[in-house]
Amino acid sequence: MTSLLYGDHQSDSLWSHLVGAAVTGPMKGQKLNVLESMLTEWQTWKRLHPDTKVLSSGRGGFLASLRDPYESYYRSTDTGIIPPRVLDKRIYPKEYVLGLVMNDKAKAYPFSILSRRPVLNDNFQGVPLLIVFDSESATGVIFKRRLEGKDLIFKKTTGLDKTGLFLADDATKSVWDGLSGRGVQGPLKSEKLEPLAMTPSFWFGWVDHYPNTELFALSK
Amino acid sequence: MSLFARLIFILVGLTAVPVVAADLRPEAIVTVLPKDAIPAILSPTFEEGQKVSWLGPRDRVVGIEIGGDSRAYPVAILSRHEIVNDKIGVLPFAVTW
Repeated sequence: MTSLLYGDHQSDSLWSHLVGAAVTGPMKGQKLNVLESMLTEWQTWKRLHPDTKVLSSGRGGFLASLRDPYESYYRSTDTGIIPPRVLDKRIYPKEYVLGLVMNDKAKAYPFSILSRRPVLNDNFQGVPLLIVFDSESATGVIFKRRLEGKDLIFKKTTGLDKTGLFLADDATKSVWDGLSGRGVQGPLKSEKLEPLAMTPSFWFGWVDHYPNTELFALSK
Repeated sequence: MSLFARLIFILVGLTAVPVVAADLRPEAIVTVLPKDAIPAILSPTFEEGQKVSWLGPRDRVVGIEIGGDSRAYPVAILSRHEIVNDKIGVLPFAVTW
């Protein structure tokens, strides 16, 4: 198992970063809820959230101006400090995946597939899912594609402008912004799909923590 | 010293859900840095996104929106602090990297 642990200042328990659960100390067995988030480029986030705030680097951008100390790690084949117990080589161990947990079951969507198939209509644990991937900014998001009891099927469409990734649903042909899940044109304009909490991760870390995870693959 | 930490997680609140992922064995824990060697951010401050000039268009951020409050956490900062303890309204959460 190769993953960072965090301590809390109150009880000194240690928490698993990826799972969000305490593994030692008074809080052992407790688990935190995962909130919806997005890992993306600044320009993409600002386009989706023009009024966003930014965590201050405190010193006129000093911290942000330095190189990311992990840059070489991202590019290397290293898999953490300790070798993983479960090394599943169906895909490259350092490949990014979108990891999803529903009803205690895990599923991973590899970026290599998403970059070729940026709009996936999938089902997991009985929930109809829409997985959207913007290759330009390497941003993946997952929504429930159920709206007012009806399951929609989405495909990529030409957009209203060149900056976004746009989808159309089969039922109404409304146009949707892919990363925000908002209807922007047509009968479902102003509707919003429910985004799901997920975790972008290296595959080796995900499968080490969720050894029974499903791995999305395109059907032959 | 670089710990393995390429996983983004936003966590909130405590619930009594049992651990169901792979068993996490305490004996497998290896300490490579003393406590608080990587200083978590405990009292984050924020700038208006439209006024920020020190972030490049393609710099990576973790973004969240809660109740109409949008916040971006630049990865360049997260890589040096790894945890931001933050709060929106009554909702305490941690951004971890």
